[in-house]
Amino acid sequence: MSELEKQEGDRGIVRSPESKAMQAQDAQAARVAGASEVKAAQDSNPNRHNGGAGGDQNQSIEIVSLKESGGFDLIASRLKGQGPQNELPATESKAKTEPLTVDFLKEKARQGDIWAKSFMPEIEGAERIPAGPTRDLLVDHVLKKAEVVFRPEDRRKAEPALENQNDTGTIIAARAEQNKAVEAVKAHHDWASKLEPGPEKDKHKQLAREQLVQLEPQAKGDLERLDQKRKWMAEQENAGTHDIRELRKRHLEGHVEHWENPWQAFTKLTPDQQRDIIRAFEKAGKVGQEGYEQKIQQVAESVPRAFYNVGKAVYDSGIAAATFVIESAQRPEKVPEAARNLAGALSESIANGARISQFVAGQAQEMAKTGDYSPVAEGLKTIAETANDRWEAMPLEKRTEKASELIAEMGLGSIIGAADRLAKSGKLIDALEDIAKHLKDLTAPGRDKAKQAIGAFLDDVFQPKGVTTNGFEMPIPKQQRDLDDLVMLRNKGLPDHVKPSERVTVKESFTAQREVKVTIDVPKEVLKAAEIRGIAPEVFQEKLQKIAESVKQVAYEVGNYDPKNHGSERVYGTKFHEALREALNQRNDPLIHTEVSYAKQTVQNWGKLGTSRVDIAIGEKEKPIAIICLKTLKALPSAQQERGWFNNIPRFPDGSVIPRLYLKVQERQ
Amino acid sequence: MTDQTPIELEMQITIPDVVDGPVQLENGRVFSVNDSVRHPDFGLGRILRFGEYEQLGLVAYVDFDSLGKKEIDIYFLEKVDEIEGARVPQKVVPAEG
Repeated sequence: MSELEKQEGDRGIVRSPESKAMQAQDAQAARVAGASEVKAAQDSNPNRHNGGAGGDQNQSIEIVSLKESGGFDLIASRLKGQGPQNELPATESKAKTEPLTVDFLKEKARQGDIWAKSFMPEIEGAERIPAGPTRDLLVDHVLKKAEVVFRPEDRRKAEPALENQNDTGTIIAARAEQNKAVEAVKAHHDWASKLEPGPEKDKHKQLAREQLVQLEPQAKGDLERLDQKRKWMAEQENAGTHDIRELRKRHLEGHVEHWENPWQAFTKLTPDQQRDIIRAFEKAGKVGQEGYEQKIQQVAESVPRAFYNVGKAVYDSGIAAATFVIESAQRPEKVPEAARNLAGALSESIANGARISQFVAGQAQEMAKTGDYSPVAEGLKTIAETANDRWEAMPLEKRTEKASELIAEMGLGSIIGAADRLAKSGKLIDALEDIAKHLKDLTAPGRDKAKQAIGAFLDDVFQPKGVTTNGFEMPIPKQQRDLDDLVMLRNKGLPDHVKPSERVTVKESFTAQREVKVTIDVPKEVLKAAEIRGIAPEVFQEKLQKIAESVKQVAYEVGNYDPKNHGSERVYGTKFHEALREALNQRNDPLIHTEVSYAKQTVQNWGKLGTSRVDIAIGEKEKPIAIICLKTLKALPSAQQERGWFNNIPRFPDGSVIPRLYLKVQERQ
Repeated sequence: MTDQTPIELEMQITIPDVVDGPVQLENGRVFSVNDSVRHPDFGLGRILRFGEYEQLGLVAYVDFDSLGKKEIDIYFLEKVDEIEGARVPQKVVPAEG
């Protein structure tokens, strides 16, 4: 060692007497300490600046030189020395700028951070996969989610960049900035991007990718991740799911993911969120019952899927409740029927785990606060109060008897004290909901039996009562049903002698010109119907022929049912209906009418509440020969449609019901 | 109709299986959507879609303008050569049967 070096070395020792200590193990640990550990150390300092005297902790250490003229010059301070970085302690600032890593999350989880813990199952799952692009993608996915929690600012800044990684051109452009040789590849890719879509374009774009990998082998990973991401997104699309960022926008969805029972999830929503769901059903209901059937599909798309059934059940119960309330005030003779419907809707909801009482309580506050009236919520609130009043009005002895019967019929006899609690409860619906919690222990048939028992119990509560001359309370005898009601009880509301198995045979064949010809063989009974209306059977047959041709035309327009293109079968059906309506309307045939609404055997305005809307009416609109009900794929007429046909469609002069045809559109098997 | 017997019937229409074009026949001829075709009786038309029936086989859904849209046995259509623009019909051998 030279003399100079020796002197330098000596000076070095003199200048840095702490250097030995800085190499100690604990000093190394301090250097790499995380933000939380630094914070913990700062908090343990008994002399730390507590802010009580005002000012900033970073200003608590300053070196000043007093001036002769008074005052001082600031020679050094934490703030001055650290410049713009002094807004945060150095370690925290570093933590904010460092990219989020798996190790960071694991450390956080180890320290007990609940958010970090929530990401651990996904991290562990990803780490079980062999190293490769799939694993990287999964880890990347978790880290992006974690960024939302731990680096919200960085997340916002990074968002455009993340979006850009969905593009090969951006990957090439980024590499070109670092490596001039890649600029030629970039130019090639840019040129290829402008080509018309086709094999030529694909070939050149693929060539550009290969050239990039040759020049920049590290880019291979980026491209593979991109491919994997695209594949993954395509799979998500096919599975009917959506990008996670899309889901985040729909904040309601988040709750459903973490609750087993949609009803539980529903009760955890805020009252205004619950209102939004019910409002969607209320809007659909305004167009009338038949319209509701079709509009309901739109509701299914406007509310989170998991809440659809819950929302519909609440809505149905609410409508039954509102109907009961209205009938009680206006048409007492209809109250028994309304009570039956209400009991049925409520028992369905309660047996499925509904918390109607919680919903009512939440909505009552919301309506009082906002003044936003909901007929569904108001109806349920009124019937809950009615149920409580009627239950409390019964002597305890009678309540105990009825409660015991209910518990026995529900098959829940082993639940100690259930009947007693129900009998003593002043809140009947709440008590029933509590009992219904035990239904999960039953088998499916057992639950059905329990549901029926609840229905019968509630029917008894809601049915109007009268007092006999000798003081006994008796149910008012139920109104004698008319013939139509009686026959509707069987076979989905149809009399036994209706023969839905009868067919109008439709056959396809070629004419001499090799055109496809549709031959329709209509039963004589139907042709007689035309004669009754004064229309020649041949004319009626020709109308059917036109309808069949229009169906074919629509089939070509709409195409085969494909879930990827059409969504659900119901959506396909709606599209088919609309296209057929347009096709038939274009024919402008005075004896073919589409979408006609009838009530009490007269034509009504389209979509009016309580009307039955038929897809096609043949003949004069006011005196149709027959009505046609279009059914696509596996769709079947609902009991409601059956009743509508029976009650609302104009009949023949002798009172008999006009024929109805299901137009069943069958795809080739 | 006086015996109060409601008549409910099922009218089942089998719709064709819609086939994406182009289609190639056994004789090698290729037809595509939007191809101009000629029918001996209905004249010139344009193919809108293709369909297939279990009993009838492949048909073309053709727009014959004023005559409307018709489903025609594809072997009965002549393809009009659009490139030459001369409306030259090309012979198509009808399938057996």
